Amino acid sequence: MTDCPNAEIRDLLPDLVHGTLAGEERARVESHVATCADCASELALLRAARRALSTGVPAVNVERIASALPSPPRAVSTTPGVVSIETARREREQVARPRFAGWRRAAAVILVAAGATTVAVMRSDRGRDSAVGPTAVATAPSPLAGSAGGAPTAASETVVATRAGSAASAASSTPARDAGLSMAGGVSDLDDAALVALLGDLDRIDATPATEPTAVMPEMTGEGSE
Amino acid sequence: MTDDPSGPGDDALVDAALIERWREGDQRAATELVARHAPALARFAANLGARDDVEELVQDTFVRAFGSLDAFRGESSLRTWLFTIERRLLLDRRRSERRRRDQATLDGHDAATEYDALDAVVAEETERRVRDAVERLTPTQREVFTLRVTEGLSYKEIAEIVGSTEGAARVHYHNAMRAVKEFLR
Repeated sequence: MTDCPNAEIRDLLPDLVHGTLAGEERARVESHVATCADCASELALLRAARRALSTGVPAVNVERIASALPSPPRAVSTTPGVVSIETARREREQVARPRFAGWRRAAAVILVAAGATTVAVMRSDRGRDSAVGPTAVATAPSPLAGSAGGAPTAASETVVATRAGSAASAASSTPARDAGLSMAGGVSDLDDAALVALLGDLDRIDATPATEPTAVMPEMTGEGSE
Repeated sequence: MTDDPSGPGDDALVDAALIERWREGDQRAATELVARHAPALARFAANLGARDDVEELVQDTFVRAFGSLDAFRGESSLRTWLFTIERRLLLDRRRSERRRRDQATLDGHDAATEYDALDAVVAEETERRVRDAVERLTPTQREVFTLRVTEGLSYKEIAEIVGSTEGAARVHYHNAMRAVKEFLR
């Protein structure tokens, strides 16, 4: 048994065996086989091989295999109103998703409120610095000056006094805006007058941001009740 | 069947419709899919050497396929995908058996001892000799020959299943055919 030199036709012989060739192509192959002994022999061999390799195969139980398969994603329920566990779980997740989104929004609002409170405290500190005047600021040792290894120098006192003075002069229009951040040390470094001023500021701070939590809380309550 | 089909065939369309029905919750669609493809998978398994565990192998193939059917994009035909899964399962079992028996490597030179699962009783002499010839092919030649001759798959589909190129699948087929002819001469 020799090979036909027409490789294209030989490639198509298995398709001819399986009847999967289109009309025109099928006619072309069949006409070639009719005149080519090699291809006719190979075609006969292919048919015999197909039979040989298809016989003696153990039968399989389709129903048994199908019963071992996983359930479909959306199992059809025969009872009205009853859904599969998987379906119920998905629906529950879909309902739960907006609630988690609400919590994320609430957390973001709380973070913004906390940031606003911090800014308010810092601004209040600046206001207090302006209120206590050059003397209080001058007596509070600056960490910068302290790190230089001694008492505040005349130059640094001058700078602080100048800043405080300019803030005081502008207090009538924009209090504390130009005071800048206080570089003073801890609370223990403040004298009695400064502490009184600080406590007074804190009292005002406690009252100041009250409107922000009031705006947040109803939303949190509303989200949580979903 | 050509190597470059212009579009999905009827079989692929039917499979796609059945898959969609199954995704919608119709378990009977799964039974239809099994009925359509189980015989071919059983043939492939038997011709590649599976014996008493043919049905188990076919079942494992469908279980594996349906377990990840959501990920099936339809880029290849369902039939090709199923053959690919079954082949991997079969090779995994072979490797496990080989480790247990501490036998030869899977290099294709021990085909006669590796793939000797065809039935001993074949009525017609030519068919018996053909089977003997196929048994002597290398594992890759045997896979390609079986898929091409018994299942009528294209070289492109075969290449996807065995993890090679279309050209390599064609070469394996013609080498297998030449070897079978020489054995029958």
